[in-house]
Amino acid sequence: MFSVSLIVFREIVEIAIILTILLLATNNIKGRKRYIFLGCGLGVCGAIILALFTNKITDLADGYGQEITNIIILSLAIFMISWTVIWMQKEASRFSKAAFETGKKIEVGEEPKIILSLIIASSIFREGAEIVLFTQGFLAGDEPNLAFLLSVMFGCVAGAAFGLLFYFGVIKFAFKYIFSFTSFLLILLASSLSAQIAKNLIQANIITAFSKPLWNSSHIVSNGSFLGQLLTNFFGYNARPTGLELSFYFVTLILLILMKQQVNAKKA
Amino acid sequence: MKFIAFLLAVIISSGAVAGDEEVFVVTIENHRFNPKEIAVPAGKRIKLIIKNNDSSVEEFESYDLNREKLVPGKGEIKVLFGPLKPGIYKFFGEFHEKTAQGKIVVK
Repeated sequence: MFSVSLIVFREIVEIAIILTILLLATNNIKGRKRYIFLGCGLGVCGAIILALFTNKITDLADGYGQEITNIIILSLAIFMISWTVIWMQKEASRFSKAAFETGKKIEVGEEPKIILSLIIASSIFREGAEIVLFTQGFLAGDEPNLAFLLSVMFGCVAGAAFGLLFYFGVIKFAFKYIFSFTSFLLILLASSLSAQIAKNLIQANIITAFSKPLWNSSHIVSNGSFLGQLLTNFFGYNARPTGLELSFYFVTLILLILMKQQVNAKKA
Repeated sequence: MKFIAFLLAVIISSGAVAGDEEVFVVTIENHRFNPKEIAVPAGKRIKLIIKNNDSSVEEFESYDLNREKLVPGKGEIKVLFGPLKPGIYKFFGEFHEKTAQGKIVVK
């Protein structure tokens, strides 16, 4: 049953990382709580719906419905994360060190808070659907039992604990740099989601060019290891990256850094 | 701009060539792959059809092939990859990793 906890833990960690980065980024925004819960709620509902329709989705688009769905969700997530990064930069003075230190909450419009909800929802949507399917499979086919449910719960709790540790770790040790740190993490996050789009484009046979792995570093850090998974979630690490994934990653990274600097230049 | 359009056309059309791949079928039953080992030729595009005879969902995953796809209960999926260099490429079912293990041997 340990393996059950491990699978759930892995998926929850992925959600927890995105959620934590967003929670850190919006640390001093007034009235964000409602929107966070809204995002979580939407995400859970979406995940259940996605799980229910897996059969149908799989058969869409000549058998590549799953990949197309991923590409759409990932694209929306990247768009919204980029929007947030730029918005944060525009509002940088309000997110400044001094503002954080006074602990005073700042007022923002509806738009950023809705975007916050949607980013949270989109991450739960993708990872959550896997948890639902996995749990459902066990409950339907194999002997459903208490030990299984407990293992799922243990995985959830452990994943949430990881998120809390990360959150309070940053608050305690990197609070001074929280603004630049979270906006940097969001840019990396958007870049790794972009590489995942490339992976799905290759898998759906839409693009086959540049689809050979350029190197193999799995003997150093394998994607199956926990370290590999953390590196994947934070930096989009892939032990066998293809040219297409690398280009998507770095084009997104460079574009976002440039856009961020443009905002700075305009302000100066 | 024209160059970018041309490049996009080349990239997208490169994916459109269908039917020149060799097809292999693997079945999932009792959370195990059958056959566990598939021998495929090197340098060819491969289409792997994965049929799930179990009622529970499985996730086909391979770090070696860089592929990840859900296989619905009583459903089937296709996964295209290659051309590959000779070697062993492992795959597994993420939801039942203990039993669902397999490998593709490229010769």
